[in-house]
Amino acid sequence: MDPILSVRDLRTEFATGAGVARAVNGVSFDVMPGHVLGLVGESGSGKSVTGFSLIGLVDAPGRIVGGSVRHRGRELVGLPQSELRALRGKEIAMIFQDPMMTLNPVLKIGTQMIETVLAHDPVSRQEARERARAALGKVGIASPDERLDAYPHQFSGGMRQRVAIAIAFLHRPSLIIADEPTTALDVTIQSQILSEMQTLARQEQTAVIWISHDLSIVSGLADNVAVMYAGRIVEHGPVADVLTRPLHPYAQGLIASVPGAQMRGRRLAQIDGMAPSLLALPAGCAFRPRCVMAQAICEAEPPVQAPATGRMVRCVLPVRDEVAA
Amino acid sequence: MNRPAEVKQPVVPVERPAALSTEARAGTVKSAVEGGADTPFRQALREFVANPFAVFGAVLLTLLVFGAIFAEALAPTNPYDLTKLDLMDALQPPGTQNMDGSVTFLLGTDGQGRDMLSAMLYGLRTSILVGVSSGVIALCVGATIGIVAAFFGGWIDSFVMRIVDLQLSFPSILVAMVLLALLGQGVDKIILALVIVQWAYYARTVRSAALVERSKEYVEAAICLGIGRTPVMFRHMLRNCLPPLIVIATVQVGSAISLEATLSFLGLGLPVTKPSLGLLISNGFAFLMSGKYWISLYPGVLLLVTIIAINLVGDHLRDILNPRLKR
Amino acid sequence: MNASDVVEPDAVAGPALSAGGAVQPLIELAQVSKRFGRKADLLSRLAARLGGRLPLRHVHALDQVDLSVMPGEVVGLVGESGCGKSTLGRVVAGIHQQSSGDLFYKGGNVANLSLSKRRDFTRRVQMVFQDPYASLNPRMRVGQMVSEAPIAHGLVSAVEADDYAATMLRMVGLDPGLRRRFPHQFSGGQRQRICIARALAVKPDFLVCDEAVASLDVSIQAQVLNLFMDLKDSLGLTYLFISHDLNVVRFLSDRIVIMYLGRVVESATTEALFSAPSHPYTRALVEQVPQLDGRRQQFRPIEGEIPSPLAPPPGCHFHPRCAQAGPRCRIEMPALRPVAGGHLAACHLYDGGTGA
Repeated sequence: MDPILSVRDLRTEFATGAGVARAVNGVSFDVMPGHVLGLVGESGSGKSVTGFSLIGLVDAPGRIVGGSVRHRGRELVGLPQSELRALRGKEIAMIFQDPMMTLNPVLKIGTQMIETVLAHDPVSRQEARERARAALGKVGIASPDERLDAYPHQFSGGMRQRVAIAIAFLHRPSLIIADEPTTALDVTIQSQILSEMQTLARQEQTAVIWISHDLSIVSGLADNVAVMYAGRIVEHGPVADVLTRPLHPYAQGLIASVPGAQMRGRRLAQIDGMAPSLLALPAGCAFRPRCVMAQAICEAEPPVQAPATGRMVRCVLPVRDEVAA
Repeated sequence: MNRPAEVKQPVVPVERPAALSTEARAGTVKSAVEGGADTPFRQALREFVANPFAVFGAVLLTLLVFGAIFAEALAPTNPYDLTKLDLMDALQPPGTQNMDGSVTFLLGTDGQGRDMLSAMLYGLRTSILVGVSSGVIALCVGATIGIVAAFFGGWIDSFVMRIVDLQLSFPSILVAMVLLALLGQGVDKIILALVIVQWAYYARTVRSAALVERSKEYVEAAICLGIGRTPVMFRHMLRNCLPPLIVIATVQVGSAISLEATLSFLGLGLPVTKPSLGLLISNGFAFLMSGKYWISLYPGVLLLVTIIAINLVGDHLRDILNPRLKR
Repeated sequence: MNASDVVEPDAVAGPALSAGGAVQPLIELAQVSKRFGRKADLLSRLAARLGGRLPLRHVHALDQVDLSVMPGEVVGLVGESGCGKSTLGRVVAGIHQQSSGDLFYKGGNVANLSLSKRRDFTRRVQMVFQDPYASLNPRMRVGQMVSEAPIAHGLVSAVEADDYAATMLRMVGLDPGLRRRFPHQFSGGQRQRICIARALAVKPDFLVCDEAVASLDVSIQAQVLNLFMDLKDSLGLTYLFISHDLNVVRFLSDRIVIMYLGRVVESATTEALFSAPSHPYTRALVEQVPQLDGRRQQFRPIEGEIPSPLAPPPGCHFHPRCAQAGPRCRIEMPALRPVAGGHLAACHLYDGGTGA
């Protein structure tokens, strides 16, 4: 099967007053149709910039300086904005942490959804409304007919996020990029959204890139997970493998520092120090200053190892045999 | 195809987060740079200097203030030294020399034979003195009232703000005229009148800024720590209300100067012995029709330039310090 | 080691119990309610007189809450937005005044305290806030912020203040050399440490942590949680740890209290709450705690939205979302009563049935 999206050595930089920040520093991954990729990292790791870079939504002073993003074989980097715009919303949709990014506060939900349908498909207004209605129904919004005539402020946060998801699915996109869409929501509402997202993506065979700082969400949702640190993917692989047997010291630390059931009363494993400034990345492995296993060799560019099919780790440490087996 | 761009596709709204996230990122990048980070003040200064109009206004204002402060040293004559005045020098056009040829009246003389340039420098000093001191007093009064209203809320807030509304619903010139009619003439009287018409602007500005600060966690933290109300208001909250206060103070000093000029022009403000720019204009007004334009014109131009300079600085301060106007 | 082992944990009773009990709760709330909203002003009263129907906008942020915390105990307070957990924290910390009910500190009603005792209470109960950006005054230097309150309380003199600030910063793991900097020169995790130092500087014995790690990155969150644990041991602190994240609360707490729309719905030891959650809402929350086992999860969410606190449903607030709700739940508010030793729940399932 060919990947829906194939990213190779993507690089995005921000020219700031204090120097060049390498927000995305050589990121590569593939997304298969119908698969969910969890892109996990802490603030400043470049996970959101990666998401925005994929569809050419990087504003000055940011700039994609290299690499390739292929959607169904078609190169997106360097594509004119008009063609990218035709692609966004139809083939590739985006969901944001704040649904008001997609919703216009002064227009009715129905109007916005109908216009979204009409923007890409030459159908009648009536038909567009019908599709909007069906889409709202699919994300679990009761009495969609009434809801179409409501304004965004009449919805709760969770409802708005549902509408944003419904809009994202309107054109049955092949790929959805979701940037922390449940972070601002309550726990019970969050699991409602996750469940709907999971069902829809499975039904429509939509590939999803789910950007999150929360490993536990990705753990329940994704097929594959990529862990980012300081603009790079340091580990990538099937979710179950990465979470149960993380190889990169950062991924190990990250997973160990989630306060889970088994650790009550004991100290949490913690990663000391702070994420490095993107303006002054240490030479070689960016995690080296915080890494308990750092050696002199880490000052050189860490090699990419592929210990098993579908697994990747960017570290000099020898990979234990049990993983490869 | 002429649909509103926002709905046409979720693309236009989609562009916004990119900008936002860039901003946020710039924030993290900045905070990550240890030590070398900019203080808000230095950043504001840099932005201010980047604007040529603002710099022009600031330079102009500095020159004017300098001229006003050192009026005695800079003025060719002392226009209020009656022994130096000679009625033979009255109403001379610009460029004339005085009787014994010791002084050239660059901007002419008025009906009493006073050198206009000197009179204007002295007048500017009076104008700025009245404008700034009334502004500073009104700021202290207004800021105190505004922050107390915001901090305590409830009926205190409602009561104070209704007075502010009442005050602001009357034209300031009218209020000032009534007050001066009651108080009589004098520098102290006009400052008092200007404070009374201006404090409400400061109170309203500080209150709205302080209401925002009041709800922030650092104020709750200060209360929780058991720091007294007065330090919480004045040491914590007021500091963070400074940006809008600085802006409104600049603009208000400008309007105080012009208000004083208007009142003096109408003969209500300052005594003739301490003429401000407004009074100078008024003095020359009688001669305007007889072609002696300079007596009114030059003080008028100076007043205009002063107010423009203040407003240039004020406008750009507002652009810099008001986060809502930032793109 | 911790107090809950020593003390009978069924401490969510009124002050009557504490009077005879061996160990007195450090903090106790009895039937505390907090309403937000304005009293009807002249204009709206006039409008009401003229027949206009203006809705009275009262939010019952807290509705007759009982809670007690033993010395040395860590109580986790869990709930979703609008459940009143932050309001509860602020009432305890003295930032908000309760509308009705009583707050006791070491057995004494705070309302009856003398002015100097009241000041002492203010100092003894401190709070760490959610947003480390908003909770530090952006225009004050860090050292000044840390030493301000100790000076105000006379704990240190102005001369010693700078050294004291340095000591406090060192205690929370920050370089004391940074005390002349402004908050914007610090990262989120460092700022939260500053907040902790500021709170500890007045030598409190009770710390309310309101979502204190929610805005931090996972690896930084672990650092701050460890710091909380260390400080508890070294300073003998008692915590009320407010969070929406059951994982975090589970890690820290001896006992967990669950709130829903202004009411306490369940209170139990951490072990009991996770092994036998009683209230249907608690069960749903516990079920939804994300696990890091990498298995593709089948999300089984509870239906429905969280109702607006402006118009909470009658009876049990949870009944519109509850699969087991019966007719009684729609009318009668369930009281908090024991379902097992020290384990309390407010649900008609344990109170004579739902009437179905």
